[in-house]
Amino acid sequence: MENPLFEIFVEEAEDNLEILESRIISIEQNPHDKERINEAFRAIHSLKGGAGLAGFNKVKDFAHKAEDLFENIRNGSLNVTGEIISLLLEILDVLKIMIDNIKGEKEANDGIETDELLARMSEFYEGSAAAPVEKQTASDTEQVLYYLRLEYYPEIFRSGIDPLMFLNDLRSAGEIIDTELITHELTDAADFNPENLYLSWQLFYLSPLDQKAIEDIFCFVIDESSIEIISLTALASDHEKLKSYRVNNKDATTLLSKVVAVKDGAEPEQEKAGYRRVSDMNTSSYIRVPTEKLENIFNTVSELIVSQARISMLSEEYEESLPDNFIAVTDMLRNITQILQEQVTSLRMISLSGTFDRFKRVVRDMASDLGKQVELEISGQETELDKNMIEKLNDPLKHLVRNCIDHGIEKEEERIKKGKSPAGLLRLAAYLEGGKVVIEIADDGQGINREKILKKAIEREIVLPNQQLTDGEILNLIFHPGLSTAENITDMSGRGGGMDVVKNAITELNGSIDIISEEGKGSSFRLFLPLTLAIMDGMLISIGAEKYIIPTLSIIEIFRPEKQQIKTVSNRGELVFFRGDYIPVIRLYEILQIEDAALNPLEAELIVINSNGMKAALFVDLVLEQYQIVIKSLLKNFRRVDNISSATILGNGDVALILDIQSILQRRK
Amino acid sequence: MKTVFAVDDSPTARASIKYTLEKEGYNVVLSDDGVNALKILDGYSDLINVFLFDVNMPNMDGITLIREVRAIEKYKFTPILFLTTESQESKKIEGKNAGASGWIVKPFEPTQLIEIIKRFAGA
Repeated sequence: MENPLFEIFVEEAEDNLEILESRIISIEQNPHDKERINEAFRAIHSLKGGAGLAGFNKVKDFAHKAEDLFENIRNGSLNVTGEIISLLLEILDVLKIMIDNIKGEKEANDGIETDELLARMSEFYEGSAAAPVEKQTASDTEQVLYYLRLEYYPEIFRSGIDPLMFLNDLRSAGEIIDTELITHELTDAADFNPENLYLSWQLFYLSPLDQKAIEDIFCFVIDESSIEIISLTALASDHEKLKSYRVNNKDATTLLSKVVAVKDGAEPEQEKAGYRRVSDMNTSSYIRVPTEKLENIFNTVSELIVSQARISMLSEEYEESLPDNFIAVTDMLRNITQILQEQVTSLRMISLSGTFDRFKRVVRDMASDLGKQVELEISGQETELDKNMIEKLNDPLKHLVRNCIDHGIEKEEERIKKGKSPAGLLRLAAYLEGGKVVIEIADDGQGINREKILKKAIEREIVLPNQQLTDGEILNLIFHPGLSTAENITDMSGRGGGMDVVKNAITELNGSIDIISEEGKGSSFRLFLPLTLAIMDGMLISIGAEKYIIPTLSIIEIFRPEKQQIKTVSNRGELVFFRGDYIPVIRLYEILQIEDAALNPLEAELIVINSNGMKAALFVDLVLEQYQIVIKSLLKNFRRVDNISSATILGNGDVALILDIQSILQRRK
Repeated sequence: MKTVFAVDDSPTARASIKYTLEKEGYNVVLSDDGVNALKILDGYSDLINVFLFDVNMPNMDGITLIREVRAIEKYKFTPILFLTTESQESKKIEGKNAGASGWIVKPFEPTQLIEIIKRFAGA
C-alpha cells in the first residue's frame, strides 16, 4: 500500500464513527449532555483531521461540514431536535459508506450523493466562511520596502519563543537591510529580571511579501506585542512621513529610490536541510499490530501446547529411566506454556462495549420503524471475548434483538392496557459464568406463546400430535428451521433467515442458547460462549478402540448408572433417571458404528449433555481424561463429516475427533 | 538531533506527525494522552526541543497540558505548539495564555508542519 497511513486511518475512522454513533444516540436521549456532545465533536474532529493527514480529502471536506454542525450544537447556537438527530445519523451513514469505500479501495464518494445532504446541513448553521487557509504568496514578485518596529512583550521567553526566530523568518523571505537594536528599556542590574526581554528592534526590510504575510509571521505574538509594519513603498510620494521612519538615524528615502530602480531583488536563499540520521526511538504506549500477526503467534503457541503435552506424556511414561529433575523441568515447561497461552489469548480478547454500543442505534432505528417505545439497558459491556468471536456474534445478536423488539415487546397502547410501562425494556447483559461468557438478551414483552408454536409445529409436521414435549423443548422449536423462517418473517426479522440461523451461528462458535420465557412477562435468550474459539476444554472418551473428544462446555455430569435408573419406554426408547427426570440414552457406538464397544449400560459410563435445552445421556465405554484441546478445522482437509465438528491432536500425536453434540442430539429425533 | 514531543489522541495524527518529522531528521516522541505524556516526560532525561499538543483530547485537554509542561522548570522556555482548528479562535488565546508559543491550524499539510517545527526548533 503506497499510503503508509491508510490502515491506521481506516481503523481510527471506524473507531471514531462508532463513538460518534453512540454519542448521537446519547445526545438524543439527553440533548444537554455537554460531555457527550463534546465527545461527538471530538470524534468528528479527529476523523476530519485524520482524513486530512492521510490525504482523503473528500472525507475531510465532508467531515469538516459535519464538524461545523457539531460545533454549533456545542456552542449552543443550535438546539438538538429530532430533526437534527436524524440529520446527524444521515451524516454518520454517509461517513460510514465513505470509509467502506476507502477500505474497498474505491473513491470515498463512490455511489453517494452528498449535495442534497450538505444543503440541508447548511440550513442549520451559518457556514463557517473560512475556506481552508490559502498559503500566502505575493501575487507578483515586486519587492516592497518596509519599516518594522518589533517591541515584544517582556515575558516572551516564558512562551517558549526566541525573538531571534522572527528575524530568521524575515530573512528567509526577504532582505533585512538595516537593523537597530533599541536598549533603552534595559534597567539596572538590581531590577533586572534575566527571564524578561528588555530589547526591541526596528529595521528596514525588503521583501516580496505583502503586509498580511508579514503580519502572519508574527501571528503568535502580535496580540500581546507592539508590532508595527509600515510599507515605505506605499509612502514613496509622502516625503514627510517617509522621513519619520528612521533606522540607525537614517531615513529610507535613498534606499527606496534604489529599490525602485533595481525592482528585482535577490531571491531569498533557501536553506538546505542537511542529512540527518532518522531515529526509531518511540515511546508510544500502544503498538498496533495486524491481526494476522497475532493469528500466527496464536497458531505457533497452539503447536507449542501440543508439543508440550507430548513431552509431559512421554516423561510420565518413561519416568523410571529419566534423570531426577526431568519431571520438574517438564512441569515448569507446562506452567510456562500455560501462562504463555493465557497471555496470547488475552491479546485477542476485546470487550463487548463496541458491540453493545452499536445496538443503541439498532434499537433506536428498529423501535421507531415499528412504532414502539423501547428502552435499552446495557450491562457488563466490559466483558471480554475473542475478537474473532465478537465479529461472528454481531449478526446473531442483531437478530435476537430484532426478534425481541418485533415479537416480544408490545405496542405502547397494548402495554398500557396490560398495566406495563409504555416503553418496553430491552436488556443486553454480559457476564462470566463457569468459565463461559454469557450474553443475555431479554425483554419485558409478551413472552413466547407455547400453544401457538406447538400448533404450528404440529401443522408443519415437525412434531407428532401426541408427542410429549418438555417446556424447554417447545421453546426450542422456535429454532427449528421449518418453523422459524416461515413464522417469524417480517421486514426485519426475516433478514438473514430465521432463528435457526442464529442457533447455527452460535453452535459454530461452540456455544449454546437457552430460552427462558414467561407468557405476558417477557423472554430472555442466553448465549453461552467459550472465551475463545481456538482452544477449548474437552473430555477424552473411548468407545471400543476409538477415542473421541466431547466439549466440556456441553457436559453437565458423568456417572455410572445403577440398574434401576435405566428404563425402556415405548416410543421414547431407552431412558435414564437423572435428577428427577427421565432423559434419553444415546448409544454412541450405534451412531458412530463402532464394534467391540461396551453394550451393557452398567458397564458403561453415561455423560449427561445439555444442548439447547435438550438433555441426553451419552453412552460411552470410558471417560479417560480432561484435555485442553487446540481445535483444527476438518474442513480444510476433509469434507464435512456427520456428528463430528472438528479434530485435535492428542499429546501422543494421535488425532482425536471432536463430537458434534448438537447434530448427535438432533439425529435422535 | 532535535527532539519533538507530540501528543495527540488520534493515531492517524500521531503516525503522520512521526512520519513527516522523522523524514526531516527529527527525533519524535509520541503520546496518546496528556496524562501519559506527563508520565513519559517525567522519565525522559534528554531534552525535548519542541512540544506539539493537540487541543481536543480526552482525559487532559491540550490547554491544561501546556500549563503543566510550562510549569516544569526544565521546559520553562521550550517552544510549545498546539494543534487547533480555524473554528476555535478562542482556543488560540487560551493556549497562548497557558504559555504556548504558537499553534498549527488543523487540517494542515505535512510541509506546513515541517515549516513551523523548523522555525521553533531552529532548523
